[in-house]
Amino acid sequence: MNFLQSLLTGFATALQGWGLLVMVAGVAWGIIGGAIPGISGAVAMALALPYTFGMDAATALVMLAGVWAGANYGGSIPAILMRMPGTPGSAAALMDGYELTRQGHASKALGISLVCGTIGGLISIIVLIAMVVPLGNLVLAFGSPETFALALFGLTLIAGLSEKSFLKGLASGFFGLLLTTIGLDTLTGSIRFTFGRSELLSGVDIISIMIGLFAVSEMFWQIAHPRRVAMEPVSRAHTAFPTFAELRAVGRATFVGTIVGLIVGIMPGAGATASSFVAYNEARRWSKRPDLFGKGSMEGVAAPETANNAVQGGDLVPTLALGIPGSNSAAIMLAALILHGIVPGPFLLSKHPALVFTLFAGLILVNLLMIPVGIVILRGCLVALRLAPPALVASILAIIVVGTYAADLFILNPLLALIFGIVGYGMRVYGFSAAATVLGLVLGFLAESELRRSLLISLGSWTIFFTRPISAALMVLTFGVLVYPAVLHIRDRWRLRQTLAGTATGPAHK
Amino acid sequence: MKEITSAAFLVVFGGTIMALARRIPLGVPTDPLGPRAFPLALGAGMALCGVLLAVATLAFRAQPGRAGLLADAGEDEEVEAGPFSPGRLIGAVVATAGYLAAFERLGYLLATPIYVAAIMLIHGGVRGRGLVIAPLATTVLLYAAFRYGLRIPIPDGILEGIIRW
Amino acid sequence: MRMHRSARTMFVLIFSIVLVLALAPMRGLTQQDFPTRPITFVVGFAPGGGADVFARALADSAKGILPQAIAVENRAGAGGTAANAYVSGRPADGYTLLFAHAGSSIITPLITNQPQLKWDAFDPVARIHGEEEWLFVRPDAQWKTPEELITFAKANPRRVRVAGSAIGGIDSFVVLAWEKAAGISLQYIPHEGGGPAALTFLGGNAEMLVGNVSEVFQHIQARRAVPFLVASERRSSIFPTVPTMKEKGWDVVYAQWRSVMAPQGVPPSRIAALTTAFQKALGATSWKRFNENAKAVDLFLGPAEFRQFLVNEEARLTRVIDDLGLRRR
Repeated sequence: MNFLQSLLTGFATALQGWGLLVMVAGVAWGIIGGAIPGISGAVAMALALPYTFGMDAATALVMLAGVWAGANYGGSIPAILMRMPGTPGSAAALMDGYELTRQGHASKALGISLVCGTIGGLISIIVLIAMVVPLGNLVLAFGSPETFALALFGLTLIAGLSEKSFLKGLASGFFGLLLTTIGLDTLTGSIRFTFGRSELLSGVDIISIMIGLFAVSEMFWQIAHPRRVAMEPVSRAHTAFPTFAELRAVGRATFVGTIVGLIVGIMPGAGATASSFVAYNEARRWSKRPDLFGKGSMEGVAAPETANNAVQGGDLVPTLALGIPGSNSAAIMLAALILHGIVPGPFLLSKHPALVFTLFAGLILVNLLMIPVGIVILRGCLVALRLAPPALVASILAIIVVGTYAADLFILNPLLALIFGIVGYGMRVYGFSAAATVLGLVLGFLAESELRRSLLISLGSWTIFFTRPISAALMVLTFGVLVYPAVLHIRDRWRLRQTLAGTATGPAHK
Repeated sequence: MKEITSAAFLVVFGGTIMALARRIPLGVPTDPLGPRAFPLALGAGMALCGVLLAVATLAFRAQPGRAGLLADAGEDEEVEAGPFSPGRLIGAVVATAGYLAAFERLGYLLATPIYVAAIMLIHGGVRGRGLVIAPLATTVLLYAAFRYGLRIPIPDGILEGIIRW
Repeated sequence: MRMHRSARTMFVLIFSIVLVLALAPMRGLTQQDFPTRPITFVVGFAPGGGADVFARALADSAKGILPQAIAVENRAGAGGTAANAYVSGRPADGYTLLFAHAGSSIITPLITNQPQLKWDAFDPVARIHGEEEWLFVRPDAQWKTPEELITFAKANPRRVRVAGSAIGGIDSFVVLAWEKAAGISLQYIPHEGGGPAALTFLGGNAEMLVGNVSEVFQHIQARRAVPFLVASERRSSIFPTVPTMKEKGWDVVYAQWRSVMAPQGVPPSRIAALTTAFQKALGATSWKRFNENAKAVDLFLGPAEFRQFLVNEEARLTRVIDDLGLRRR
């Protein structure tokens, strides 16, 4: 049976019996789970896992794939509507998404997130299907030095997030990086900054901190600054969906997001969150209107949301080709396989071809199903915004507490959300950048552990980052990205001086 | 003034981190950097940012309009936001802290309506009936969603054992 | 003594009733009355990981043996001890169980100096199964025998890179204990888990890998990894040609065992009910298939023997922890 035939058979298998219903249920579960702050995609999948016991392996996998895809989108709903990341991967879309909501364009932002996310997911799945084996070998080329170089590259975004004050933005980023050092150090067994509290041994929960810095601080801000005029009411025609023209306008950002999501997804260790920030950064770099980023740019929503969906295909590469999960969500897919008696590994494709092709078909189907299911849920969520501010703010705070509690059933997480809500408030008053802190949080753990591990692999030599091709390329890119704006700045100042001195006039600059 | 406060804070915080980092246990020595390097560098970085910030602020104080490293420190946020009420802020923080403290002991079902009502009162702009409907509705909806939808055990607190539906 | 007929009848009747009541099983004490509602199996690790999959597989296999289902609850954190802390506060009625392995019930509590989270603050229910710890090399490795490796390692200290999971986990203990026993100095590269370690090894960034067979079994079949040494008492049935560390003269025996525990003070009859149920579950087809795929062996021990095993295990591990200076002051 050739490739196309196998795939078509896969479609048939995925759709037979209750298949379609299961997929729709999975996607809906994922979107709702992702929308609840504190419940990430992996948690939503884990909660769905017991339901899959009665199903056969293929149906179970396809349903979980639906939950996964749904959660990637679902997280952006509260992020855009209420400045509250539902999943860590939607934190990057929050910055422009919430601005768009304040300007009355909530529905457009959500629409872009949905459509672009679906596109990113579909493309990454197609790439996965076409190239899973060669890509599997590529995974092995991404070692610790490459991952560190990528993390470093991603951290250069701090410069872009510190519009107001570079030094304060940098310090905010350092703070975020610092937070990731709390807990047990896997590399030495040392315990850092726990002050004797065993709850902190595994480190601080990133998503609780994110929610605190973004959402809780925003709620406190609204309470502390009672407005006479309510926030831009959403009831009017602002349920409009993005037009074709608008979608085409974010085409470049979507493209960037897809590429970034694919590459970062394939790299084990870096996942949806890292990819969304890197995509945001890159989209801004290549955008025709970079000045709009942070003030309500549609591209600022399209790129990260595309990236965090496109990671799905990449994550499945090491999962299916090597039997090693590329992320927490992929780990649950593997767990489902194991619990159904199927051994993952490089022979999965050859031993269970029908299963794998059904999964491929299912992945395509659930990504397509995201659009109708997403629209329905989206409309429902928009209704929520009609609540009067007091009820809305209070409900949001309650949801935050319960949601952050729910994932680990630990009262520490809601407490972190509260503490960082206060911290975030203070940062806002003093002009620091919560976004930079979040970036540090997201990439910090990866950066430090992979750096140290690279030094172990290189037996102490720092040149390893430059002797390996991929890592060297990323380092050069990072260096260039940092140096280039400085060079431009100096060139502009030089030109300005020339103009003022009355000598040769250069072309007008921004 | 805000700049100087921020700068001072950064220096103090960064310095504290550096001091604490020195006392991190070394564990099993494997990698050349060890567990202390990163925190030490980050603390130093923050302190350095503070120093530079202070220097830049003081140096450019005489020259207004010199943006770049400094820029305004969030003043435009306050202008559009309206009057600031510290009492409400403190109230919200205290209410939330109380909710967290009571969450596991009193249980979700008792603590949540009280909390939601409290926040609504602190926020202001609520009419009598809304104060009852919204808290109850939120409590019930969330409970249903988490307990029955997602099958996550929400603590019943003192009601544990009594509720068994 | 002369009694009225009616009085005697009365007496016989009452006596019979009392006799029947005395002999009939009392409510609440019979095996049949436990469990009457689902049992929660708390796992201190994230869903999808080895501990979690084990718990789910065991719960699944126990379906039908126990009248009620076992539901897995994840409370990841603090190296697995967050679950310990939670379960220790639960009522000791047998309806809350705790997943335990060497890391979460012995090593981490010792390293962090938290005796209230150690295994002896709980009631061991049963040790279920375990996986052996192996050392793998790549097919193109220059050493064909362990002796060759030792010679090389002695001449080149800290040059041979071994990938494994975090410091404080069983993987790291195998390597560190082996270094000590053989008098060599290797370069251990810790990772967050077995998966990332396998990637570093397969990608050519480490000469050796320490871990369970299940993580790399298909890679062995694909000729990307070769089992080199096993840290067990006897040679393994999976790869019988691979020597044990013990037969080479190094007393390094560690296994990644997994078990079930309960809060202290659960009535012995309930513990017995659970133990029996789990023992029966090991015979279920689904469990056998799981073990087969995971390349694990059943290491069933009931509460008493398990307790004795834990005492010895703790003594052994404490020695290594102190040697490494890992214990928190």
